[in-house]
Amino acid sequence: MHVAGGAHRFYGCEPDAVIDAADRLGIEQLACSIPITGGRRATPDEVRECNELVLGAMRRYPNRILGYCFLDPGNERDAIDELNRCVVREGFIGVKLYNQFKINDPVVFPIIERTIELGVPILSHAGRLIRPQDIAQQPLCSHAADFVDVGRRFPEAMIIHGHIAGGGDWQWTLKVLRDAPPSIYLDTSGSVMDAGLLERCVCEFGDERLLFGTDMTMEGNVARVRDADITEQQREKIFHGNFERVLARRRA
Amino acid sequence: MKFLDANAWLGHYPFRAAPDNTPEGLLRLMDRHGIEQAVVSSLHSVFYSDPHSGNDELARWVKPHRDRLIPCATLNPQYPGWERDLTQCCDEWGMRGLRLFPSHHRFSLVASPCLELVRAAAERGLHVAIPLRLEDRRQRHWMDETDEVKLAQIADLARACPDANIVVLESVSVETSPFALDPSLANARVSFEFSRMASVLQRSIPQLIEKLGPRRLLFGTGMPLKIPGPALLKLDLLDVPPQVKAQLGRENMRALLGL
Repeated sequence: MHVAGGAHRFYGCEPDAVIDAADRLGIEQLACSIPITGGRRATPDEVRECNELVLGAMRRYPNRILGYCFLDPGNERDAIDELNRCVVREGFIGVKLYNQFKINDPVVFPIIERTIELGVPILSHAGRLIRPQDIAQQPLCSHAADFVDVGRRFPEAMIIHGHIAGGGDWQWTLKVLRDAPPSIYLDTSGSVMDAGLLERCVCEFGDERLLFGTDMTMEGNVARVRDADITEQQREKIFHGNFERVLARRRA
Repeated sequence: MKFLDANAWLGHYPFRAAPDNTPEGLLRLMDRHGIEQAVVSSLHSVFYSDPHSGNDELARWVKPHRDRLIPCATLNPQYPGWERDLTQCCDEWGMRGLRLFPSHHRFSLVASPCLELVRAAAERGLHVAIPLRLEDRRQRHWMDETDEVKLAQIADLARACPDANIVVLESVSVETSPFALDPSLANARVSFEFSRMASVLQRSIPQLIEKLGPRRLLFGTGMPLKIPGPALLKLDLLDVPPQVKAQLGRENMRALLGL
């Protein structure tokens, strides 16, 4: 989920509106971030500003809005410092990466290593893009094979492949993620409401590392999991149980 | 509350498996979600060279289920003989609307063949439905080269054919389109199916009710290509009186169908 942040988009997702929507849908907690989008690098000052806005939302709604701290891995030492500031000092629950670098680029590895030390997850933007114009807009968007690769390099990490329903060819993604190691998770969010998508996720990827998310498509993503042809036990795991297990691994 | 789905389909979609795409499958899905009736057209018609072959199939598919499945014709105004095909769809098969696919069939909504077809449909009392898309462009099959239909194109059609009742399926961003911004379209006979809109957070459905009035919004699901739950939940969450929900959920589409 995202919250609105000044010049950093997500208009309409002001914290009060997000919480109002969550209340109406029975969503207790939302893990939110404000990434710099648009396929460009982000300066350390911009990154900090994004995270300060998330922190403001966290303080306004303690224990309802949880924060992912956005990082640009290319900022290297500054990125690690920001990670420490947000996660260790300010209580963010994990890291958000966008499309500044692919998730398996070595420049990301120090961030992954630090999240392993802290026992927190990384949620990464992802997509199997097809159209040349989509690829041109975000050439470093990570796809499922990148996640499988990095997941094998870092078996102790918790890396979440974002929005299966908002990242291009989801059938391709699920085929590739069948071979994903246990360090790779998948979130169910996105605006695509294709029939059978959630059931295919459970069938191909399993129900242990599948995480409920909205990515601003609130009603659709609640209904997707609520109505899926899966067991009640699986539904509970996806709605909250699996992510609670992720959060319980925190060390810091 | 009874629901009439303005946006349902039968038949195979060539680029992705869609369970429940037979009449029996769709009816099972409707029963599971408490949807009484659905307006359906043939997905085959979108992809056959001659869409009317798909209309023929559709007529046979829905014949045993006419109390619940309301057939809608698909025609290509550039394909010869649409006049006779339209007559057969209406007079012989009792179809209650017409769906157009300008991107798949590669025609302009304001070129004369299309205007003639839309006017002929309007004279017969048929609404004309146009989906903005069948598939999210980010996941299109490599053989699918269609672009999304733009609301501005439909606005041009509405200006050219003010007497036609036009239904936009898979509507989105209506609040920033000519239909919300151009005063000359304030009373256009154009309705919008809301499965891609939002009741909460972005609140596009309540905003449109305020801007356009409740008569121009329609419940639709996109079944069996899409799951029906989101549209049902959006209607359920709307903070409007029950009679307005009934309008959106059923009555507005019934009026367009002449039921």
